Amino acid sequence: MRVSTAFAYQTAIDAMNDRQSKLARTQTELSTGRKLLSASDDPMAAAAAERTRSAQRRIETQTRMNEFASTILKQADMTLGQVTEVMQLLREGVVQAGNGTLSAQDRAMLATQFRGYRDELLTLANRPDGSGGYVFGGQGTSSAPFADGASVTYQPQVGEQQVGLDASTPTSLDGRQTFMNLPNGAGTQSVFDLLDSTLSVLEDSAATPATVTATVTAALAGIDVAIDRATSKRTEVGEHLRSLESRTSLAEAGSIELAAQMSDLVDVDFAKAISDFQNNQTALSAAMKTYSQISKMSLFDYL
Amino acid sequence: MSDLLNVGASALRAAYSQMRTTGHNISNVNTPGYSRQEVQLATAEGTFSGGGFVGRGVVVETVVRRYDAHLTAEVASGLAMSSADTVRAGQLERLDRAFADTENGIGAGLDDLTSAMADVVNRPADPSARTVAANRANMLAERFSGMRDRLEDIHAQVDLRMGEGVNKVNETLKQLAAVNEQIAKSSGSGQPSNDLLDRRDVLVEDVNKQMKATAYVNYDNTVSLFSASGQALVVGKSIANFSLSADTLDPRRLTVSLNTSGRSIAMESDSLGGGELAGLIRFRDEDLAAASGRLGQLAAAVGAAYNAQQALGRDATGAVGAPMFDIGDPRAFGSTLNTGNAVLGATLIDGTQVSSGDYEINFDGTNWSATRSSDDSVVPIAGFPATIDGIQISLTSGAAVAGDKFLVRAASEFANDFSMVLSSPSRLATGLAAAPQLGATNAGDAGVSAFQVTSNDANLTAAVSIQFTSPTTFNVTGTGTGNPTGVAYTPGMTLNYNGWQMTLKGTPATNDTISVSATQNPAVDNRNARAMVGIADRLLVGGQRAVDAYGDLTADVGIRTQSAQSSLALSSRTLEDAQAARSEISGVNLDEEAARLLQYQQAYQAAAKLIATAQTVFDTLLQAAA
Repeated sequence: MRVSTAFAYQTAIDAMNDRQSKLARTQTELSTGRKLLSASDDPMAAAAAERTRSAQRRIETQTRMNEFASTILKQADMTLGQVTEVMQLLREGVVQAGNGTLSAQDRAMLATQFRGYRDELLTLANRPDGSGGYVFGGQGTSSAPFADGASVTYQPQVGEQQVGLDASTPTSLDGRQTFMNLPNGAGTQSVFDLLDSTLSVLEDSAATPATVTATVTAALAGIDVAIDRATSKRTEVGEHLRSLESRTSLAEAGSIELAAQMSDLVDVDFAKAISDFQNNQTALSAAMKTYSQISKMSLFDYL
Repeated sequence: MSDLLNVGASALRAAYSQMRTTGHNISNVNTPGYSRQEVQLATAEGTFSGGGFVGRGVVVETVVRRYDAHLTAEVASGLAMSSADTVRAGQLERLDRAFADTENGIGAGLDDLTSAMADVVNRPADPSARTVAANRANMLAERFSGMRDRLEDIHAQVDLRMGEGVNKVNETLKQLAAVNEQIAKSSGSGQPSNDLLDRRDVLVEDVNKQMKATAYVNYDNTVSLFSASGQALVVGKSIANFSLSADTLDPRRLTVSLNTSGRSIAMESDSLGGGELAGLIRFRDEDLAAASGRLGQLAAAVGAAYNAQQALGRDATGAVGAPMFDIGDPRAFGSTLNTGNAVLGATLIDGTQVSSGDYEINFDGTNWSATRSSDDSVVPIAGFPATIDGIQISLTSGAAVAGDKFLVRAASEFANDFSMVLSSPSRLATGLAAAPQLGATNAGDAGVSAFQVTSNDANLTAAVSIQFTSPTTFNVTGTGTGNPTGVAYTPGMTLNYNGWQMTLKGTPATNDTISVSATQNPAVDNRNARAMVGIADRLLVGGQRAVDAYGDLTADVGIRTQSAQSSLALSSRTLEDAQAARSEISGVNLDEEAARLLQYQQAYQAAAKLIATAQTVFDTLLQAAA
């Protein structure tokens, strides 16, 4: 076989170029830590990486909503706890008022205290959630949900706001259900109406003992219903918080799994890359050495 | 005596020619296309004498080039294949790189918008959450249009390279014709003009780099050159001329036309058969068109999904949600060859139905049909307006004649001017127009498990009341409901009135009510924002989620790049083999030339000695005679 000098040089140069481009590729992989630099490197892995990245973001989105719901619900839990405490104080006041030995003056003093608790209860019912809404905001409101006029009325549309991707978690409570719609014999009654009617009797110096006793009995029954309602609401909130927690830990586990998957898809295997790099380096230096040796050999040197 | 001198002189001439040719070989060791030359010697016929034929020395017959016509043709056709593959792989690698940045890609943009919308779901009334969501929507639109710009850049570069290719072909064909003429002239001498023949072969190779061309060698060593489709490129003095012109159907598409004897023939990738031009056209029509069609399809589907969800909601001002994205419009073109005067128009009806293709509309004199470019499927058109894949095509004016063609560019248009058009973050329609509420005195536990708006009905906000006449029956009252009575109740049933859909749950007590009425404060309502977050999970694009469709598009470009790279590896190998085989015959080896140089030098010295001897012999004779 004849060897064309120009072709021999070209082949040697091509071989060196090839090795050098392979070296550059491994070098980029090593310096970026990624083996998947563009889709053509591994199209199926690229599509899988895109899906994985999106799944990671979905978990992030879910977590954002869960964390928000968790903040709001913790606030609601605390508020409902305080609501129950105030209702207990109101109940104690009613029990004291039922004491037959109280004078009208004593009742008036008790009434002042009782009004204070009633107002505190209203403040709790109107508590902002710290995120621009209200704990008992129903389906959403931009102003305090309970208005105190001739009687306390609930302003927003009843229901609750919800967040979440797959499962819904409330981020507001239905104020009407918590405070307004308490069963009272055949119908329903608002806790504020109950407190206001009780107050009007306590503040009435002319109220007969019989009226007071009847009022106290009715008030005790009503407040117990209200405490039960607040407690059961708090239990609901607690359930939501618990399921949020389990969803959060599931999401965390999923997120770790996805991160591992992503790493398998795109991250470079350093041991392999370094060994590839050394192989190519050896091959390149061999190609260079033979090139320089061959180019030194010429018959013209002997003429 | 002069005989001896003549023999010496012929040997001297022969050795000198050989040294000159060796020098020529050495000089051209690195000249592309050069074929090693050799001096062909013959013994000069002897002179008859009584003592037999006495030799008269050597004759230089001719100088030949070492050459194999078959291998030369193989190199030319190898060049056509590998040039097409090189240019296609190169362009695909550019395309592949355009999609490589997944961190800042369209898929990430879609997810960014979804996650910003999640914050709006959390705090619908918070202006900063709305602002972030609006910014993310804007960023997504910019990524779509930015990607489209990159594809357009690549398209523009393809156009530019096609222009250069056409110029090179025209120039090379002219040079080839000129070389042909010189060869024809010199062929009268009876001796081959080796260097001109090399030059001729190089020019044929140059044509093949742009398009496949087959050379047939004539008796006078000129060549006739034909395209893969059999069109004459160079025959004698007639030279074909190529030009670039706008496609008759698609004004944005440049085609290569062969202009010969007053006719213009469109040359597509197949008829070009190889070379850069074929590679460029194939890349543009197959690879780039597929990527840009799928990008447009994705843009249309995403834009339409958000716009539709906006339209079902109410913004912070209580108004019906305005479109979030401007998707752009499909465009219709009539072929410049049409003989009728029909004008077609196209409008986008439903972006989520859009395919990844454009449509060629044909009229055969009786029937209309549409051919979708993405899969070449033919859809008959019964009459106008016709809706195909969410695009409405109508006959705007005029009448068509049999054979008329039209193009409706759909998917390839949508990412073009894709933009976010929400005027302010407050226009994000986060709320729904209507909301269900349970009666204040309900004794049962019936409730609403789901409530959604399905259309913007005129009565959407009308008050509707559902009154349970028993735990298993109810009456409905309200505008738009038809006030049905005694409707049977089952838990989980769905009611559809006035554009809303409500699913009921639980067990009602007699006299319980559930009512639907206008949403009190849409600005703080997050229900439609939740539906927008849900868009990410919907199968929007050909049965796939939007991010998956984008991942698929990226993978498709990757697969095309990979397969182009492997075709290139194959055709380069074929070309290298052909070149190696040819270089074994035609290439110059310097060591060989050095050895030959020594050989011819010695012959030259010997011939010189012969002349010196002749002179000495002559002198001896003269002295003897004196």
